[in-house]
Amino acid sequence: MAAAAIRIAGLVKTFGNHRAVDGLDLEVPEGSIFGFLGRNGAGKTTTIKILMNMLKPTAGAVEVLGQDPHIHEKELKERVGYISDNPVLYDWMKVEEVAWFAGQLYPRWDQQKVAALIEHFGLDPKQKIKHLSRGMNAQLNLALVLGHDPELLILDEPASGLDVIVRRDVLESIIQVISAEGRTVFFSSHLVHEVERVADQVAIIDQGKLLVCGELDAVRQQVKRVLVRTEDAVDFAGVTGLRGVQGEGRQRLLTIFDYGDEAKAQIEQAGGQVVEVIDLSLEESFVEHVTPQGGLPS
Amino acid sequence: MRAWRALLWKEGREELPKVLVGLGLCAVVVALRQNAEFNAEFARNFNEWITIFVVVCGIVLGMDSIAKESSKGTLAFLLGKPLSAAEVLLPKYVIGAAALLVVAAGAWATVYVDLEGLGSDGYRYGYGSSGAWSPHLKRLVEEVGYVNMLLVSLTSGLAIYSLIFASSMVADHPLKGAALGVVLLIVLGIGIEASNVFKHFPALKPSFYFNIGSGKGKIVRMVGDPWLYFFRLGATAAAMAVGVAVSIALLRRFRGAGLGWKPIVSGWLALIAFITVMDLTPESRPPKPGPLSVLTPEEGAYLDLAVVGERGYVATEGGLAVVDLRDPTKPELLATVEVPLWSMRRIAVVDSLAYLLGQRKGLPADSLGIAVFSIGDPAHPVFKGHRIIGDDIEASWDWGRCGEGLILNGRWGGKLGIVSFALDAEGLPARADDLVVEELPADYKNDPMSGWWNHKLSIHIHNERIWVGYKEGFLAVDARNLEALQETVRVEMSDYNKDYDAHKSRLITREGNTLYVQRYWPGDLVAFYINDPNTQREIGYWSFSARTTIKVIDGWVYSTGSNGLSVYRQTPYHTYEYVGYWPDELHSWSSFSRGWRRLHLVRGHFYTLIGRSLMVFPLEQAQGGRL
Repeated sequence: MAAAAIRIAGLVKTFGNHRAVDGLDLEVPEGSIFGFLGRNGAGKTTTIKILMNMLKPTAGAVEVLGQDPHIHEKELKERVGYISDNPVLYDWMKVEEVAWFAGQLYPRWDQQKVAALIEHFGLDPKQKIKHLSRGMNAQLNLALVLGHDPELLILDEPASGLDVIVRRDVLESIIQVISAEGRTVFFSSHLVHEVERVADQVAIIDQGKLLVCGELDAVRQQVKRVLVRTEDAVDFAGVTGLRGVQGEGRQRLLTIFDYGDEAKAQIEQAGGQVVEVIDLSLEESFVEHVTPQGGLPS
Repeated sequence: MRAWRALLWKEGREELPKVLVGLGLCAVVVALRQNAEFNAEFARNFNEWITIFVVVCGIVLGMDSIAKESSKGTLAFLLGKPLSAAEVLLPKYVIGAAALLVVAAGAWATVYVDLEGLGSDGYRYGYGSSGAWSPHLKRLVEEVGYVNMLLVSLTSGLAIYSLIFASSMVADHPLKGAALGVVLLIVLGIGIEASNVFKHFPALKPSFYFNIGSGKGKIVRMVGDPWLYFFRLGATAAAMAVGVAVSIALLRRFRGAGLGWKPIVSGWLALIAFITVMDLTPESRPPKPGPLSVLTPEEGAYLDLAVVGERGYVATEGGLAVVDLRDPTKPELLATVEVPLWSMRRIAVVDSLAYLLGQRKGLPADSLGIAVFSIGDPAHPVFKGHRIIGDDIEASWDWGRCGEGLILNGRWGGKLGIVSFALDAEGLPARADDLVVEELPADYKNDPMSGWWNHKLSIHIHNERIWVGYKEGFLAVDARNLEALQETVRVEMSDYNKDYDAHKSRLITREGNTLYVQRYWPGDLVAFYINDPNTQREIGYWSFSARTTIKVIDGWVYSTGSNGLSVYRQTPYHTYEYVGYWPDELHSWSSFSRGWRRLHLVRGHFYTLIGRSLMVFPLEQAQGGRL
C-alpha cells in the first residue's frame, strides 16, 4: 500500500453548535489525484483549512506529508501548494510582479518555470491582475502554485465559479501540468463530473461525515440500479443495501448499495426476477450517497 | 530576508496612496487657513487638530491590517505561504507605523513651512483672522521644538494604531476592525477612569493624556521632565509591543476570523446604553450642604468685604454696610450708610476709618474717588468726606491698607503702577507717591479685551511690602515709607505674556514666606521663597490654571469668583487635585472666571461674597470637598 500524503483521523470541527466536520477519517495515497467531493457546506473547505493550519481542529488529528501542520506549518508550506476556494491575488500588481512577490516568499523558487507556465497559459506578464479574466486568474494561480515544486497540491474548488469552457481549460491544465509530474493532488469540488474526468481516487463527504472513499471506479460501482420483473405486489424491504424502489406493477427499478449475489438471492426470494443490472455515473452515485432518499423517488 | 523585503515592498505599495492623501490633506490645510472662519478654530488649537489627524490616520492605517486582506480575499494567499504569523504581521505593522510617522511629520512640516517659511504671523488682538497663528501655540512650538511636537502627536497615534491593528485581526472588513477597536478604546478609557489608577500613580498622569496638547503646559512640562518624557515613550513602546504580540497571537489562533457585525453592533449598543445609564443615574453623593450662612442685601449687591475682629465691613453699591460676624452661623447687619452719587467697589479699613474706592457720579463726568467713613461705633458709621483721585487715575482694581496708609493699583497716562496714599490728621487720604510698573503699548485702547482682564496689575500687600503681578512677572515694593515707594526685586516669569500684548492680570498671593505667582506658560502656580526681601528663590511649581482670586493655606488653594468658590489640594506631584466647589450650577470655568472677590479666613471660617450675598463656609467643610 502506498504511503499516505494526507492522513485524517477522527477529525471534528465545530463552529458553535454546528459540527462542520464530524469524525472524518481519510487517507490520501501519495501520487494520487484525489477528488474530495461533497455538496456546498459539506465540510470540504473546513477540512482543507485544517490541513493548511488555517483552522484548528476541535478534535482528531491530521498529518500532511507525515507531519502535523500545526507544528510544522512553515516546513510543510514549503512542500505544499495551496489554492483557496476564492483565490484572489493583489489586483494592483502586474502578473510579473505577483510572480516575483510569490517567489520571494519561498526559499526555493523556479522563476523560469513560472514564467514558462505564464507563457503557456498565454498571460501577458505586464498585465495588471485586475484586468485578468477569472479563467486567466485561475491559470495564474496554477502557475504560481507550482513555482516551489510542491510535493502535494491542495486545491479547494479549483474550477468553481468558472464558465464551462474555462473550467475545462483549467482542468486540462491540472491534468497536463500538474498530474503529469507525478505529485499528489488533493482537490475538492462539488462538481462531480469534473472530478470524474480528472481524479483516480475520490471521497464523498456530507454533513462533515465521510460517506465513501476509494478508487474512482470502485466508488462509481458501489451503487447499482437493478431492473426487476415481478408478478404481484412484492415487498423488497428485506433486500440488503436497498436504497429505493421506483415503479409499480410488473417492473420495478431498485437502487442498491454494494449489489452482489446475496442481494440477488434476496430479490428472488422475495418473488422478483433480475432483468438487468445498470451501472451509474459518478454523479448519479454521488446523488444517491448524499440525498436522504437517493436520486429516485421510492 | 527575501520574504521580508518582498512583504515590505508590498505593504509599502499598498500604504502609499494613503500617505499621499494624508500629505495632501496637510497641504490643503495651509490653503484653508486663509479662510478666517476655518483658521479661527485651527489656529487656536492646531496642535490638538494635528494630534486628532494623526490618530485618525492611525485608525485608518491600523484597520486595514488583516481585515483588508480578509475582505479582499488575499489573506488565504498569504496564509498559504511558508510564513509565520510574525512574518505576515510585522512588515504590515512596520510599514503602517512608518506611514503614520510620515503623515505626522508631514503635518508638522506643513506647520513649519507655514510658520517659519511663509512667516505667517498676523497675530494682533485675536488670531482668528486668516493666516494668523495663535500666539501661545506659536510659542509652544518654538519652545518645545518640532521633533517633540511630532513625538506627542505620534505617540498618541501609534498607541491607537496598535489597538486598531490588533482589532483588525478578528474582523473580515476594515470597518469592523475599526468599530471593534474604537469600542475597546472607549471601554479601556472607561476602565482606566473607573479604576482610578492615576489616583495611585498621579505622577504618571501627564504622560498618559491622549491629547497632551490640550493643556499647553502639560507638553512643556512633559518635555522638560526626563521621567515623564521617557515614560510616555516607554508607555507608547509598551502599547506597540502589546499590540503586535496580541496581533500575532490572534492571527495564530483565529487566522483572520470573520467577526460579524452582530457582536460589534451589540457591543456598541451595550456601550451606549451603559454610558447613557451612567449619565442618567444621579450621583449617590449626598446633597451639598451649601454655605453655613448667607446674608443678602435687600437691594443691590455686596461688592467687597473687609474683616476686622468680629466685624465685617462691606462695600455696597451705594455705600457701606457693617456686619456682626460674632456668630458665623448668623451674620447680622448692624448698619448701612448710603452716600448719594457714589458707586462703591473696594474697601480697606485703617483703625477706625473705612476707605471705599468707587465712582463719584457727575463732576461733570464720573470720576474715581475715595469715600471715608468713621467706624469708631460700628453700629453707627458716619460718612466723613471724600477725595477725588480720578483727575489723573483712570482705573483701579484693588485697594488695601498698607502700614498707616493705603495702596491702590491703577492705570494712568498709558502706564500701569501703584499709588500710595498717606492719611492726614483727619484721616483723609492724600496721594503720597506712585511707582510705574510698566508702560502700556500705544494702542492698548484698541484691544477688544481691554478692561476685561488685560492691562491690569494684581497686588498683594503684607507688612508694608507690596507684591505686584504684572505682564512680565512680579516685583516687590518696599512701602515702609509711603512717600518714597521703592522697588526692591523684579522677577520675569518668561511666559507668553512677555512676548505678546494680550497679557492678563497675573494672580499673586502669599502664605507665610512663600509667594505664589501665576505663570501662564505653562499654566502653573509658582512658589518663591521670600524671606529675604531683596532676593526671591523659586522653590516649586504646581500645575494650576488659576483664573480668579486665590488663597493658599497649608497646601490647599481656595479660589473665588463673583459666583463661586472652589477648592483644590496640592499633591506632591506638581499638580492640584480638585476637591469641591460651590454652588453646583455655576461650576463652569466660563462663569467661574468672572469677577474678583476677596476671601477671608477668620477663626476657621471662610467669609466671601458670592453673587450679591455674603456667605460663610466652615473650613472643614471646604476641605472635605462638601461645599
